Amino acid sequence: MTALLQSSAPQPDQALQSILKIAILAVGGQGGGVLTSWIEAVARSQGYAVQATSVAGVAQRTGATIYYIEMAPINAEAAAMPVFSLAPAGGDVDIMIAAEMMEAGRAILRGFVTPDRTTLIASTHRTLAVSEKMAPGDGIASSEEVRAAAEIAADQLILFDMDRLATENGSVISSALFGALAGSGALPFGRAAFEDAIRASGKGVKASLRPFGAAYARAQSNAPETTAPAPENPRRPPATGPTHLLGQWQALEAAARNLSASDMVLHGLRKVVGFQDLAYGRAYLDHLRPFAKQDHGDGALVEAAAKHIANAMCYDDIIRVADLKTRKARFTRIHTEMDSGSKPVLLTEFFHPRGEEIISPACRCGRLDRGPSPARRLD
Amino acid sequence: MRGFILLYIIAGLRRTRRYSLRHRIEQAHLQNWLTLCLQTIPRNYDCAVELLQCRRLIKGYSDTHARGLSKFSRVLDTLPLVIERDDAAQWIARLRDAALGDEEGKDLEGAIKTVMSFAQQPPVSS
Repeated sequence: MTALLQSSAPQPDQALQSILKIAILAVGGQGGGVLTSWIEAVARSQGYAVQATSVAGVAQRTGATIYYIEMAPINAEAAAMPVFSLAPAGGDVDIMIAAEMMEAGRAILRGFVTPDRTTLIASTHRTLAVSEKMAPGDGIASSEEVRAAAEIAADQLILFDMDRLATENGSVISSALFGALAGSGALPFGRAAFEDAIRASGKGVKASLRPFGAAYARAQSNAPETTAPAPENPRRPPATGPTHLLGQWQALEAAARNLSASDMVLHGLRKVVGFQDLAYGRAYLDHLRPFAKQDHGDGALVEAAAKHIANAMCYDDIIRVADLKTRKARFTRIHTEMDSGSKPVLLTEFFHPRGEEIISPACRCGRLDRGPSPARRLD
Repeated sequence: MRGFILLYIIAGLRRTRRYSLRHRIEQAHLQNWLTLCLQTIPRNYDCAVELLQCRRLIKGYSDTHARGLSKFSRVLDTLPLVIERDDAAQWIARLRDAALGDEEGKDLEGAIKTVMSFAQQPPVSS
């Protein structure tokens, strides 16, 4: 039996080698399903037998969905259909598509990206994972490490911010990924076949073709990513309001500049005045003054003081929470993000203040900690 | 809609905030912290910078806020143990990072124990 196996092992079936294996890691809402159906369509149209499977992750950002596609040319002589696998295996993936930077990292860790054969197509943008947001402080994982690993692990690497490219062209990332796949040349089909697949799907064709074309060109040239232009320090529009208040504000601004050259002082002042009023801003500068005087000239002391005193003065009480939740700018932002036009949007707010937080802004007597606490009754 | 009217009313309480108990508590807390920082400047400048940055520990509202406050005061309470040392600033930074790093505060507990262990011995520098 052993001998029999050994004799047949060195010669794998030719047909096995013609199977192309594509795995896609996408997060919920990125259109991984659409991308999969496009790839299926383009392969079928070119006379391939295709099988696609998906293993769902948990919703949104706790895990990615894995889509897996196998395809092989239908051989006229062999009447039987090829038997495909249902799930990707480590070291056995030809094209790995990752719709997010850390997903690329995850694919590398799981061994789906190997230097002998894998074309890795990944978007460099980040959608922060729950574990990254949970960490107090800065829990964001390093994209640079993933990039370095990708350069080692992949045979061919196509890496750019496809999410931004798609958004700029008015669509979602799936069309950009499809364009990058077409442009990579990893599949033996022409550009027209890919575009036909999009057209055949019949949904949002024009919107999808634009980012497809842009990503195609980008993948063909495979130009190194131009570093994203640093968000320019947006010139804040000068404050507007009643003249006497405006005068006071400008005096405060000037006083802040006198105190230190650090931008942080101005930022802090703006925050504090926004939290309460101009008098509160004056109090802020008063707190800051002794620190500015005793700074050794490196700016470390005054910078730390400016930042943290401002944060301390803008404590989050329920007034603040209610204030932030009812600002006009917030509603405008929600409407823009929902792209709702003039349609009404139902907003559900979630917050759970403690009993004493409800009472303490209203309480003026300062006897909360004595006697049977009304806070406890509220809790 | 009823909820939002309530939110607008609460947001309108802003003008009365200065007279609230919460404001008094926050002001007292701020003043204590700033006084401590100012007293530290002549003794150890770098340490004062680190003390200012400890404010990072306090954020949010409700339980998050309460947890942050307790960590903050525990880090500041260890100041007398390290202030005589040359590396006091590093120790405060280490304690703060430990406190930031885990929610339950076990790392902070361990770090404070370490500080206590050498605080019994005479300081390294005079």
